[in-house]
Amino acid sequence: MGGHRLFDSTYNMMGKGLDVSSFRHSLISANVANVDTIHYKPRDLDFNATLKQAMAGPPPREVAMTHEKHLDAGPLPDPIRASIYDNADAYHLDSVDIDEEMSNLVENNMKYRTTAEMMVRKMTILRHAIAEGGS
Amino acid sequence: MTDLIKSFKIGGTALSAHRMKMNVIAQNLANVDTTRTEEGGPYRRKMVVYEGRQLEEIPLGLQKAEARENYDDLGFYEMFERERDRGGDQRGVKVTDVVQSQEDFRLVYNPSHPDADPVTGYVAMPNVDHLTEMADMLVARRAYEASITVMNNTKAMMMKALEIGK
Repeated sequence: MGGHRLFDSTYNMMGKGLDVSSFRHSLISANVANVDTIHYKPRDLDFNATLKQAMAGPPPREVAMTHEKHLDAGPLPDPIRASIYDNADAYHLDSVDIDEEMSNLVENNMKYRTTAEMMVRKMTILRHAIAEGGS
Repeated sequence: MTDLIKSFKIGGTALSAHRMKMNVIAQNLANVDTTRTEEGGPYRRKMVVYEGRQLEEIPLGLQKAEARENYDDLGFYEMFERERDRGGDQRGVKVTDVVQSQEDFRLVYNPSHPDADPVTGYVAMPNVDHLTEMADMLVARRAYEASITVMNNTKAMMMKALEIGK
């Protein structure tokens, strides 16, 4: 609850989370709608790859060599990217994996609702504070 | 919320497309014994052709220009926002064509039939195969159900969003 503003950065983050989930939902529904369309390439946000790279730590280019005997940081990792990926071997009828899409759908739905619930609870805390600890 | 509304629309296109397929299948099954059609000759099996359709048309030039941009130094959310602004290529589905099967007609020996060949006694019957139609019907039905599930999920997400700030 840090900061002086009424709505701190947590609200911001959760709002972005909701945005991402709802966008992903629309991609999944497009994939399901086109389950029987030949030549359709299923799409999804490739968030996991991005997350993995982000979790791997800051890129070594941040490491400054202040002494000539410092070790080199090595080759730079791939830059963080988050893009809609195209399923590679997609040019046949069964390009959309309906099981995968449906499980993604449920997972994404739960993620969205959890984030929304977190927002509801944050609001409750805020209301608690406004009411000076009263109801 | 606009993404969720878009999902509803996509689901809607899927429902109507698969209903259309169902209609065609029903027509095929109904005409399994039809030997006289307006075009002459026995009934030919019909099939639907689906095509993914963008909900809103985005100028191609803009898409190409955006695709050339370098995404490398962007964080996830900036990247995401850009993809979304681009329209993100969510496609609804549309029946663009109904085509007739060019398969050979079934020949049935039945000399008493008014449409039988007077020399050989064989009648050309429609090229409709029950088994294929049944399988197609199951596919259409499952796809329809999947889209309903998607729409139910969309609805659940919208309802949850409405709870915020209640």
